[in-house]
Amino acid sequence: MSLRAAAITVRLAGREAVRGCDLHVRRGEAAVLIGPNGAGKSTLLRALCGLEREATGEVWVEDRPLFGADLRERARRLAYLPQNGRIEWGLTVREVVSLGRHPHHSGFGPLTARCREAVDRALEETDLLSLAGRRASALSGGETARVLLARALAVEAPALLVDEPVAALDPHQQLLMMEILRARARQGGAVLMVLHDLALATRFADRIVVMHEGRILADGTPEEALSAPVLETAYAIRALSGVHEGEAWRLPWSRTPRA
Amino acid sequence: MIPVGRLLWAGGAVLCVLFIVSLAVGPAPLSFENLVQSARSGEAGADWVILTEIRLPRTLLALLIGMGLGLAGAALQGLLRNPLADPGVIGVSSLSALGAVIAFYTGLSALVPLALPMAAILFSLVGVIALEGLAGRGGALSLILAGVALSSLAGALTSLALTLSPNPYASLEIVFWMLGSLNDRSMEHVVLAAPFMICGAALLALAAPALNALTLGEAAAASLGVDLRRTRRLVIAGASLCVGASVAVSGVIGFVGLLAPHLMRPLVGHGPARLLPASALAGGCLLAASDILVRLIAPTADLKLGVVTALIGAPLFLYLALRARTEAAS
Repeated sequence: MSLRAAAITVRLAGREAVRGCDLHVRRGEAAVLIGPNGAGKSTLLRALCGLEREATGEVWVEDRPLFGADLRERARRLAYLPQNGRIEWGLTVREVVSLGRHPHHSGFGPLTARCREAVDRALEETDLLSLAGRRASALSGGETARVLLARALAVEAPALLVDEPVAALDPHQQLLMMEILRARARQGGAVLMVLHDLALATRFADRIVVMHEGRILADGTPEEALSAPVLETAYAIRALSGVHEGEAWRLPWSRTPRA
Repeated sequence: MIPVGRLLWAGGAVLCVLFIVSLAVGPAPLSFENLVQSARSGEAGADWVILTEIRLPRTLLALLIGMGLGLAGAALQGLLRNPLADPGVIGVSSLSALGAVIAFYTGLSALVPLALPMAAILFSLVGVIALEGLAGRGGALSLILAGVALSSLAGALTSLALTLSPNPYASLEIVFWMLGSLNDRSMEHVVLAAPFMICGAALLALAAPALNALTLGEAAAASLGVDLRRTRRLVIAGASLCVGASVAVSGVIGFVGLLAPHLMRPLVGHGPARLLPASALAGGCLLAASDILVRLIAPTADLKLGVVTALIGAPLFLYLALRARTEAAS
């Protein structure tokens, strides 16, 4: 198992935003972390990267503890794409993606051949090769999202954490982003992403982890994790469900009274 | 975009030309023959003395200070991810000016010739410690707020010193000094400022790769292995050393630190690391050229360098702002 976390607890402004969460994402698996606003999903993701100061617990990537390692070593093993990423200054697409090689490179002098290959691979996986020379700030929302994803892919870390990669994208771009992320998992990565869209989560996740009030409420295949009682507890909603071409789907349909 | 290497060569060449022109320009015309004769015989003639003891320190200081301000401006804009950041934003220039004013006010500067620049550098170092304490672990915003607070406090204390000054002559001297000038500076000033600037530049160079990663925002940069706290300390200390040393020997010279990175971005691209050396060169060229202009426009009336940089800088900045607006619209 490629990414494992045990007993992650995070205190934010005096209250426990994440309480004793255990997680494991296997190599080759695309896992989705889902839950209502304020459930602690993003905080958990940040804690896994070591970005939350008041966090306790342990994280292992490829069975080696993450937090003992120095910052660059950590960054080489766990890549993170925060939500609402923006590209400051007028960097080109290739320059932005190259920043993903920061943990592998001193930052002085040109990139090594291996780094350039990794950047090219990331650009290819995200279908951005033709835009590589363009200014990243002049791209559309969907293209910008892919540039930022390519930056995270270029790290070539065994584990990848992605926070809301498809927010504010059109359906075509959403499917494209999800396909890229799943493809990265199939290449042997452990991918954990935060999503809000139940339909996309059911369609693309190998595993779904549902968070509610800082705890993990359900963890399993999409059908197990997004069962009617779980949706009722977590979101106070009912969802339509069915099977299409052998794949399950979920569609949020109506609100139920909150308990 | 021009490759950085080529631009640095071109900038270096312009800098050399400005260096020579700056040595040649002044109220007293220098004769090349006299200079060669002095160099040969080893006897310092009047021309030789003017060249080595008046024009050379002045020129070296213009280049050094311009480079330091350009570098500090580029690094701060990178750290704060804000194109409006300049060395004034973190309050260090006001603080080191306050140090100098205190040296004037107490009469220390009249007793010990180098008391004024020393006090200015000392105060800029105090500024670094205060900023670190005030901004703590917060992000760019808390740093800017701390800088504004320090800057206002230093400005208020400077005004207080001006109003309480026992004799009007001292007040006038303080005001003139604060406008920024390179008149009557000696090699002692160069020797005093240079080590601080070199240390500052080295610290800023160390921060360059992290500044690149910071273009993605603080969270993404941290996830790439950037130590945010170390980066901020490097940039604040480096910029403060550069700015403090320059204020110490020349007074407050505005606009160079703000303008130099903006001039270079269209040429070398927006990557903060590549911008550092380019911006340093641009700053050196800008200040050397301004100091030449000061002497050409009004050789006898002591026109202040800080006034000229602002007079050139403000319209140039306006032009860049208008161009950015039309680019954004198209």
